Formats: sequence, structure tokens, C-alpha cells
Amino acid sequence: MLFLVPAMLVLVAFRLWPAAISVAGSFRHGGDWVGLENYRFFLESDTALQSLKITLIFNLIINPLQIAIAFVIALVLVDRIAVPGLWRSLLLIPVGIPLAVSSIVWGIAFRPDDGPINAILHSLGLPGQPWLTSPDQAMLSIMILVSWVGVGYWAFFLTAGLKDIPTSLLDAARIDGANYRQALFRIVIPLMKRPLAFVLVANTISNFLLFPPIRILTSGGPEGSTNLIMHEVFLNAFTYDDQGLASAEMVILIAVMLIIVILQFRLLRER
Amino acid sequence: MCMKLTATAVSLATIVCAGTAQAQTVLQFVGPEQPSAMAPVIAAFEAKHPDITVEYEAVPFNDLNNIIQARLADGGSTPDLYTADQPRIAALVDRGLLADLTDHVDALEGVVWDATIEASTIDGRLYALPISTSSQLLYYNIDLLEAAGLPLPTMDPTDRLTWETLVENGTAAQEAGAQYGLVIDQINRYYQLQPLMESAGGGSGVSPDDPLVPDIVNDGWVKAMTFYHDIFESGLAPRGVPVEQTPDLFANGQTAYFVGGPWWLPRMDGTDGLRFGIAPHPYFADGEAVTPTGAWSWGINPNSEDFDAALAFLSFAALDSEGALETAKGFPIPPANIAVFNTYFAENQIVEGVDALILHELEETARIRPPTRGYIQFEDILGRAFEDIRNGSEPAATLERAQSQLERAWSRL
Repeated sequence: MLFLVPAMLVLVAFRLWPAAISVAGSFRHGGDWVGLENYRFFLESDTALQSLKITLIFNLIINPLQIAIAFVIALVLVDRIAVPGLWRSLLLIPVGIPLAVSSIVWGIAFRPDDGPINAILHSLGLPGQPWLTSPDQAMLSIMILVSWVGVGYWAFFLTAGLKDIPTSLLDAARIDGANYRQALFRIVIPLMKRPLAFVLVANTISNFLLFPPIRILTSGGPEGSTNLIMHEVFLNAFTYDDQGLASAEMVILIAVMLIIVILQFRLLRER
Repeated sequence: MCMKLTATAVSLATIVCAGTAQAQTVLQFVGPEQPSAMAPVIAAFEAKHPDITVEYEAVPFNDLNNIIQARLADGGSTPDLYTADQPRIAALVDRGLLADLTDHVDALEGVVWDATIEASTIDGRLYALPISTSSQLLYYNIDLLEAAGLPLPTMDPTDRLTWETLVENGTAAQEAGAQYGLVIDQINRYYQLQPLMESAGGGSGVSPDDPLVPDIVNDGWVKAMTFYHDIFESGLAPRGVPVEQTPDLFANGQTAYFVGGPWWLPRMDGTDGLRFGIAPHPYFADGEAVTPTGAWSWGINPNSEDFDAALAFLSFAALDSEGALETAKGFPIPPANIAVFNTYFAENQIVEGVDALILHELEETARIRPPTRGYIQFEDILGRAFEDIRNGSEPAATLERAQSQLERAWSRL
């Protein structure tokens, strides 16, 4: 028990205490106690509600998409490709680049007039796209950028999970006459529930808290289309010095995230 | 001795405990300049004050205000000194982040430009010392203009080009091979775009009667923003290029006209194969000539543990004739100190006559940004509105949205 004390102290000092300060701060404005005023302001603010809505839609799309792609890549990496080590390394390279740097490089790639992506489209006879400058495509562009990093990273975890599946089970299935499809859906996917649950929850949290590409590339625009809630929190906390409102937004964000994560755990619970 | 030192002065402790005879005061300074720009003035100051060391920390301009905010907000004692963006001084004072210097320095009139004193003073009290000022120029690419058969503009302010002429000429230059006709340096920032609205008769965007009432949906603003919208819509200027990358487009020789600060002169002059010239900042045909101004002041953290040393450095860098000269050596931007402007800055111009042109603009056409304590919200919300308009959003509707966002943000102050 005594050995736990340092760890508990660290937990309290760096996790629980700041969280408590944040919750307490969400009831204050400019040093005064204002009760639920910050929450009322949030719920009456079109910008803030729009930001919450965009964050939810973004997560509904990007999490299943990234995990599906990562899973397919992991399956290919495990038994369908030569020199899997080389491919795994290539997939992990984007993870080693700071997200701030990838954001700047992708920002140049997405430039509508002279960016390389549109140059490729033009050379294929396709029209150039406005990418980050259009309210309809900016979020898509951000998704492409973060998936470029995320898919390889999550595929790495799923590969490890796939390798843990005993080959004897798959051999037995094959002897019993199961084809690849049947083995995949009856054996592999059910056995992958644990790694999938971890990847889903971790990915959801990281996408809910996504911030660098928004700050660097769009500042939440065009027309608020990429204003994820973390950016809204940052603006209020560090640009406008409105700590109370920022704390209230953070409390709301954590609450929404907790509900979703609890649902995900229930969904993937092993029976 | 070593025991008494606080944790915040770790570097101080190292020096004292290492056994130097004299207690060393360490001042921490945070600003947006490259360390090399600050080196001359720091070296000159340390030579005169061997017991004081100035440690400079460079941060990106975009993050400067957020960093100051985060480090000083809870009564932090460092940095001792920092760069205060002049239009933000009102907000910094409102939050108690700048020490009142009024009773510590002699009168500044005649020592630094009046506009810079005005920009550092809130309710009659002085909160920072002006270091530099700024102006904007029109750069043109000689080869691209000649290829299009266009006349080269002169430096004479009475021959100032209009925005309307620039659109015509820029389009002609594009037809003759230029990739872009007209690029504006800080392409989505209020500092750079304020002269458009002012020249179109729309005012600064803040009501003259109440500094917390926005006024950005009038004819002048809509006219200026429609012009701004159209230069991107027609392809005269590029979308999707961030502020940091716009000077490259002129330096690369791709752009016919570029509106930018004098701080780009060394960069453009040092670019092989680029032949360029300078002309006065443009204006709207039926409006008045207005140029942006304002730059840096330096201020002191009210919680600094070494106020006197910090004040000594500040006075040396801003007001002392020798110190202000050293400050100016690091900066390619006009000094606020008048004597240094008239000697050093005027003598070290890359393009002959630029100093006279800047002097004319500072005296005749310069307009400071509105001193409101809501400036931070103002600049941020407008910055995003400008970017939306640049990307094709309808100007009047976007300004109306920004106006209501601004009213809402200011209601929190």
C-alpha cells in the first residue's frame, strides 16, 4: 500500500486537482462566481453549438473509417504481402513526424492554385479542387491529413492483435472446410474484440481532442466548417482570456466524450 | 544564499552558486524577433551593466500573445520583459499584464514618433516604450511589368497608384506571363487591410463613440471587402497561401505587384535574378490615401522581481541614443526613435529614397489601429472573416456574421 503513495500523489496532483480546478472555474467569470452563466452562454451561442455539432459529425465519420482502413491494412500486412517489415516501417513513418510539421506540409500540398495535389489532378485531366479553402471540402482535407498519420499507427496495434490469434484455430477451421471469409468473420473478428476496443477508444479520444492542423491550417474556417471544439476551447482560454467559458466547454466536451467511450466499451464487451 | 533563491530563478542560482563574486541579475525577455535581431542591443547593454544578463527567447508572432497570456495570467514573474503588440496594449493593461511606466521615464515627445506614444498610452498613462513603427510599400517586379509593356511606377506620393489601376495592370501582367497580378503580404490580417476600409470611407471598424461597439457593416467596408473578394475570385491573387508564404510568391518572381513592409527589402534585395522597385502604398480612386502603421513597444511584467533592471534595459533600448541605435541595427523596420530614424535608418536603405517615402507616410497618411480593449477579439474574428471572404464567401453577409460574433464576444468583457 505504501508503495502506491507516490503514484497516487502524482495522480492527484497532475490529474484530479487540475480537473477539479477546471470544473470549479467553469462557474466563474472574470474572478466572480456566476453559477451556470458560462453554460447558458455556451448553449445560446451559435458558434459554440455549431462547433460541438461539427466535432460529433467529424468523429462519427473518421473513427469507423480510420479503423476499417487500418484493419484491412493489418490483415494484408499479416499474411498477404512480401517483406511485411518494410511495409510496416513505411506505414509508421508519418507517425514519427510531428503533427504540426505534417500540417504545414499538407497545407502546401492542398494549395488550390499551385499545390502538388491539384497538379496531379490536372495531369489526369481532372479539375483542381479548392480543398482547405472551401467550406464543403475543408473538413475532408483535414480527415485526409489526420488519416495519413492515424491509419498506419492504428494498423500497427491491430497487426499485433492479429498475430496473437493462435494459428491452430485458423488451421482447424481450414480443415473443417471454412473459406477465408468465414474464417475472418467467425474467428478473426470475434477474437479481435479486445485490440479493436482499445484502438476504437484511443482513436476516438485523440480525434475528439484534435487541434494542431485546425490551428495551423484553417483556424476553424472557412465559415466555421472546421471549428472543432478543442479549437473553440483554445480560443477562449488563450486568445480571449475567457477561462470560465473555456472551462465550461471543456467540461461539456469531457462529458460527451465519456458517454461515447462508455457506449463503445459496452458495444465491444466480450461475452 | 543559495537556499533563499526561488525555483523560478534556476539560471540565477547556477551563476551565483558557481562562485561569481557579484550577484548576477538575469532578465528574461520574450519576443517575436530572431535572436540575431536582438543580439546587438543586448550585447551593448550587458557591456554597460556587467551585473545584468538578458536572456532572450524567440516565439512565433502568431503565438506571442497566447504565450504572454498563459505565462503572466497567474501572476508569473517571468518573463520580466516582453514585446507588446501596440494595438493589444489596451487589452494587456485591462488584464493587469503591463507595469505602469509613467512615473519612471521622462517625457517622450520629440524622442519617439507621436503615433507610437499614442499607441503605448492608455487613459493618459504610459505602459510600454515604443521600439519601432511601421509602414507599407508597393513592390513591383520590373521584368514582369516590362514584359506587359506597363509603365514603372515612381516613388512620388502624388503619383500614388489606385487599387483600380493595380487590378487593370495586374491582369495585364498576368496575360503577359506573371502567375499572380497582385499579392498582399499579411493577406488576411487587419493591420494590412485596415487602409482598404479607411480609404473606402468605412472607418476603422470600431465606433468612434464607444470602443466596444463594432461598425463593420457600412458601405465603405462592403466596398473594400468586395474589392478584396474579387481579386481572389478573378485569380489575380492566390487563395490557400498562408501569410508566412506570401513573400515567397514575390521573391520567386511570380508576382507583378506586392504590397508589403520595408522589412522585406533585405530579403528581396538578396534574391538573385529579382529586379524590383518601390512605390507608395495604393488607395481607392475616390478615397483618401491611408497607410497602416504601428509596430512594437516593449513592456515590463508587473510581477517582475527585477523591475529596476528591466526598466534600465528598456530605457537603454528605446530612448538612449546609443542603445536605440543598437536596437535599430537588428531590425529592418523603421525605429520609433526619431534621431535614429534620421541618421542610421535613412543611411542604410537598400533602395534609395525609401526613407523619405516612409517619413512622408508616417507624417501624412499613417493611421493606427483602434485602441480598444476588445482588440484581441476584433482582430481574431475579423481575421477569420477576411479569410472566408478571400475563399469566396459573400462580403456583406460575412461582415454581418462577424459583426454579431464580435458583439457577442465583446459582451463578455
